[in-house]
Amino acid sequence: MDKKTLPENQWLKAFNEFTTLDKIEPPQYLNDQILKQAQERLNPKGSVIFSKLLLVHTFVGTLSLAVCDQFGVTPFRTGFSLSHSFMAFGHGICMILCGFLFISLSVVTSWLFLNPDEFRLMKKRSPQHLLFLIALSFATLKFFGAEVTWSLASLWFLGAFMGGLFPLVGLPLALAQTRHSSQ
Amino acid sequence: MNREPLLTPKEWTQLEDEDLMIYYQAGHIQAFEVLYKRYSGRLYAYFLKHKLNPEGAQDLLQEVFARLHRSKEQYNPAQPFLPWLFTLSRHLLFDHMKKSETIVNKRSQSLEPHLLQNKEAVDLQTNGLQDLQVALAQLPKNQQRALNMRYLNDWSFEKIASEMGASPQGVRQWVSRGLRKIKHLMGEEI
Repeated sequence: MDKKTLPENQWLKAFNEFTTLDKIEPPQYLNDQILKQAQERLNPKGSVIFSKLLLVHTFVGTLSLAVCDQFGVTPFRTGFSLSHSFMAFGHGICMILCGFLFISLSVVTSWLFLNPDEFRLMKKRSPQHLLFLIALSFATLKFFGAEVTWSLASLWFLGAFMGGLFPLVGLPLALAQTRHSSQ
Repeated sequence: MNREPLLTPKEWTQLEDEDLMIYYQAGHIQAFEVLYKRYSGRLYAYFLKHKLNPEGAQDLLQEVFARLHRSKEQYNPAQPFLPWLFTLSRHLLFDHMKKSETIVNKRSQSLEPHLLQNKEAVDLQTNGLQDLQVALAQLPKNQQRALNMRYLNDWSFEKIASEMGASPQGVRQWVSRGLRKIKHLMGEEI
């Protein structure tokens, strides 16, 4: 910033003046206001975070059905589905991988829409958020005609949960930070 | 991840700035509170020293801490905090001063076609930007706001009306009366 555009000694002089300034206390109402704002910024509402996640998942999850249908449900007629490849490992593994892909893509994409504080809180509350998101997804898929036994559904749940946790726990927060530092 | 450290209020205040920033990055409001208490007074004094009125200095102080929050992830705790904060604040101060300068210029230019239509008014431009500001300040609040939105923001009467919760006709009257009053206050014939 300044350091780059101003001569170093000019910056140093200004900095020295700054460090020796006598303090003047800002009005109390301003202190209260700034501290309140900081508190709010550090603790964004869970409902806002989940809404963003849900919105992203609605879009990304739907798009993902083009490459990997879930329980045979897909609005696209691409004639291609990764689930066919996954089936080579067995039905159970296929369920886990499909669930993993379905949720992980949305969680990874949500990085682009959550600020660092929202992302931090999402990590903190990930079990609640993920369980709710997965349950909601499953209910939606059922609504659109998914037919599945509970034993396979539980494997799908497991895969989906791991798919949600993997980007949150396994990958660093640094990616979100890099995104913000480049803004 | 975000476990509350077992620190007493006193221990918080004894932490170095750089450590406080690490806690702040991890979401601890106590860290922010200590940093705020430590530097708000000096920053406020710094802004006042640069000829900002108290209102401007308060706005800027608020902006500095909002920017600090947005930039906290970019801060590298291996670097000293205070020069970083100072650079950030100084940058915002310069921006603010530049913006204020632009606003004053724009205000005088925007009012020009309406106020400066005769010789006296030309004198007014050369002599009395300050007079203009003084005159503006004497108008009722609604007229001031309406004039600012009309000539500073270049808004339509409809948009101003919607912002101020009034009718477009009412806004036109405020603007018209405001302009007349400014002329009057600055010694022009109505």
